[in-house]
Amino acid sequence: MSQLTRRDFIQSALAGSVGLAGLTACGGGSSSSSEIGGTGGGGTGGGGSVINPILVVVNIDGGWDWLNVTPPISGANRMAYEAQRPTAKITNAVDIGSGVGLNPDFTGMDTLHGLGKIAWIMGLSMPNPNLSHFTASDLWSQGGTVGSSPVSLNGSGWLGRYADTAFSATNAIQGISALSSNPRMITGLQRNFIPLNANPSLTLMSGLRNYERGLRPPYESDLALLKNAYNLGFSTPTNDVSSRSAIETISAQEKSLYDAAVSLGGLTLRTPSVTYPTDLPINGEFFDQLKLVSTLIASNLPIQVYYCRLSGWDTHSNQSTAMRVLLRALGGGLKAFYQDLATINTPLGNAQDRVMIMTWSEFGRRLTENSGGTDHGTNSLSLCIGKNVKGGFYGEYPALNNPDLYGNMRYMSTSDYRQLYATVLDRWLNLAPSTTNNILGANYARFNFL
Amino acid sequence: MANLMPIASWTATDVQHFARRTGFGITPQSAAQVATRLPGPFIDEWIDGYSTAAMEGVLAERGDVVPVAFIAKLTVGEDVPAVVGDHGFLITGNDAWRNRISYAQAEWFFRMQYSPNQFQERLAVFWHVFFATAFEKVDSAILMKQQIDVFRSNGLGNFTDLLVSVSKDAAMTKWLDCVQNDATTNQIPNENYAREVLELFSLGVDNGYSQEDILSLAKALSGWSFYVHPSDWSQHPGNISDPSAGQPKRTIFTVYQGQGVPAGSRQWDYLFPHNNSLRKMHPSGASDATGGSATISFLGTTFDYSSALTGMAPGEHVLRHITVARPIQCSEFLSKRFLNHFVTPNYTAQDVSDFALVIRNNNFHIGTALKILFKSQYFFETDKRYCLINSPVSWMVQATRMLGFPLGVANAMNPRGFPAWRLLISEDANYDFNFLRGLSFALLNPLGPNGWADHDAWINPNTLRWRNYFASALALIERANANTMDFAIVPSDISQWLPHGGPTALDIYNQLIDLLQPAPIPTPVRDGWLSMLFGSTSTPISSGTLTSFEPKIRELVFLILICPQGQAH
Repeated sequence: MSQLTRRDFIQSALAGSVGLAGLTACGGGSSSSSEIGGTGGGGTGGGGSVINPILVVVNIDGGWDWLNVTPPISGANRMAYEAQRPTAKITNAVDIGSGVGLNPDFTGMDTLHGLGKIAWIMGLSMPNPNLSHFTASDLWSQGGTVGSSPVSLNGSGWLGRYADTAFSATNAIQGISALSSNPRMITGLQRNFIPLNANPSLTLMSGLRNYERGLRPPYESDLALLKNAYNLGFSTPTNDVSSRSAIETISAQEKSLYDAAVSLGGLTLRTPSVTYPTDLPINGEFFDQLKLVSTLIASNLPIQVYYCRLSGWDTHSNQSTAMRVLLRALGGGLKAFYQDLATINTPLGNAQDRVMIMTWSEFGRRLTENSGGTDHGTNSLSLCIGKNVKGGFYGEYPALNNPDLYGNMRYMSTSDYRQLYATVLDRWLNLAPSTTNNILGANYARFNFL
Repeated sequence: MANLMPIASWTATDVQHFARRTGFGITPQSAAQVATRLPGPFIDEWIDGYSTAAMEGVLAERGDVVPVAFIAKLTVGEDVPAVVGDHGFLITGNDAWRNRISYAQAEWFFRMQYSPNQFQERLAVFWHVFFATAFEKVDSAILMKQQIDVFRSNGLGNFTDLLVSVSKDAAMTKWLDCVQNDATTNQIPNENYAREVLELFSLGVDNGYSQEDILSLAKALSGWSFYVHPSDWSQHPGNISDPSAGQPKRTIFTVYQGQGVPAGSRQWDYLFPHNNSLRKMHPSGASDATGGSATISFLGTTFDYSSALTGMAPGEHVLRHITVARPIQCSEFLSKRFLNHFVTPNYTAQDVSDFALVIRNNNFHIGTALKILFKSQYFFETDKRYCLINSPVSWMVQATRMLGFPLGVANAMNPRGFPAWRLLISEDANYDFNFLRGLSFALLNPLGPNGWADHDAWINPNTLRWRNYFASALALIERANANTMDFAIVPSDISQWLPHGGPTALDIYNQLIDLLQPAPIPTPVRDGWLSMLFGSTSTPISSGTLTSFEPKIRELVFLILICPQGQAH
């Protein structure tokens, strides 16, 4: 298996929209139709083929050491990798093509890769990274143009701006956060995601213990009255100047809660058709999030985007143990979820046909290990998983033998993280390319995994 | 220009504004009394603090409405056997091994509700948000509590001293990996803590430091860790064979330089050190420093990080250099955080600069600077009233302070009149809820070292529904029972809320507004609510008929707590 070189990647990127027939993937297994380094040029084509698509975003939170997820297995990159990671290097990676190995702890991904259902978007980078979780997360979340700041984007995220564009004003539930809050990536200016804290039921009023039971006597008989009174509270404008801004913020969110509770109140968690991992020393929150998503997909609500998160990847120390557990949770969870989707049929079709999973992590980690872990680094790896994804490798694997002054991977304009967003917006979520470009503030080359 | 000149007089309304922002609120009766005093001396007194002895006395014996034996009945699978006495959340001293985050959370809520020294607890919350540390990784309720104690004892002192104290705090050294930061021969330092010191704990991201400064500070703080003296260990009685099964009653900060410790001491991972000496992680000179040099450049000055100045730990002089080298950046970073938390989200760059100057002029003495801020015209200006969204913690504590029983009354009741904080926030697997997480404010367990953002970050449809549930538990007197004991999980008595009785529904409303202190509620909302609940604003309600109206009065309280105005403060 020949290693794909940095030069190959650059060439393939330059080839752009004319296609990359000469660089057909060696990864991806028998059914793969993957291409390597396939950036498809600017947004001129656009338009995905899946009707009523669903995007499930999975945040790999904390900056994952993707070099140990998909380590180089040969060539100059392998030499550099081994030199910088004398104890932390992965020695049992499985060759999945293009000089890339797969950490066997990332369970289930070998299967999906073999089926050609994973697009590995390599080396995703941003200009001038400062190695801060929070800056990197903010920039990944905003997906803004170079030099833009949270101020100029009004704190919105790229999927929040998508929601502003695509969600209807009259439907309260089109975007769901499986967390207890709405991260910046899904924060828009006009439309709201509903955070569900991994529980599908959204009861407006209830006691605290056994909270799905609703209010107790004698108050339960006044529920309609209390709902009306609550509605009166958030729908009546204030004329108090100093509190107005705060009150308007709260009122809008109370209205979202009120509207969403109409559809979600009393919804119960669906029993998955598959088994999620049970043998890991980790709480089951991530699996609960995925079960919530499959429940809501099965409920046939018009939800277009879901947001999930698996935290714990900030492995400054104890990396080998922590990564093993996290990778098994992530891989096992995603594979179970993907398989479960196949059993969900709604009037809009089979769920596996309609869903694409997109992972993101704010950065990769330092090439050089410290004593027991790795510190913050640059460049990341995203996975797009789905039945309609063209599996294989996209973007560019960084040159590990050419790090910057502090030992970090360099920015590559051929693997800009916003190319991923541009691809997802118009080739999965079916936006017109011009709308995508407007949301991102520029016309980024698309990858060809869709 | 922020007008930081002090106010000369104040009203009860001003007092309530002050107490909501710098504590968890005081009743209208107390506010009226305080308003008869000059603001300056009262604010000094409030900041300097009051005796907490009575509260500590009650807390030492009992802190929950539910006796612990009954709690055990409620928590199937609870691995913590009942203790002598009626305490629901012991985690200190010989009970340290119990190590439940819900105990530490409940203990803190009890203090917030009943401590007469409100500001101390409020400031502890501020510093916890600022130096956010999580049980999830520290894995020790007692160490988390001891970090909060650092904020209680040092939170009003010099900022550099506080930063040093936090850097030596055992929970922090575990949380951000200082315990694994080795800058001796051939080792690569762990830069996790050093980065967050500059980015989150002193200057702000990209605000006057470089990657080289991070590496230098990481070297300076290498080996900052702790050990546990044999007499300070609380062994888990159910697992006596595992030396690491237990928790320290207290820890001793030290810099790991290969020195000896008393036989039987435990190092930071609670395992016994080899040959009763600690690992060498901080060099004693150039010869055993990583890269062969103990000389570093930090914020423009050269240091020997292996050395220790008199009275300081090795490397401490480097940490103390931050406020010396970057006074403007540090003071402005602190100024923003203080203004956003205590005063207004709408501060201007000039406001930040003005209060930063106060911080610098007072040599980073936090208490002195905050007294100036809290006495200022700026703090009391009309546009500062109700412009902040209350955090879920201070929202809950304020509500329980206003609606619950005073400490002495609660302690004399049978069953006790304390809220069942321990049950409300239990992390036990057998409960399918953890309402602090639902509220996006898992006290003592943030998702990351950046803590929580204030103001509008507290509010979304999910957190609001959890606020609704809590308000319901409190106002609509949710009950639970165990072992034949029936109790309100957040006890209250409506006659306490309404000292004047009626005579009309409108009077009831006005008294509740005075008590709960929401932002101004529009008249159409008020009239609509009173119409729905009582028929009209003028419906007669007297002291004698209060009981018959209790459900409606409680519903009115519920609505005030959960309406948009009830979340602002």
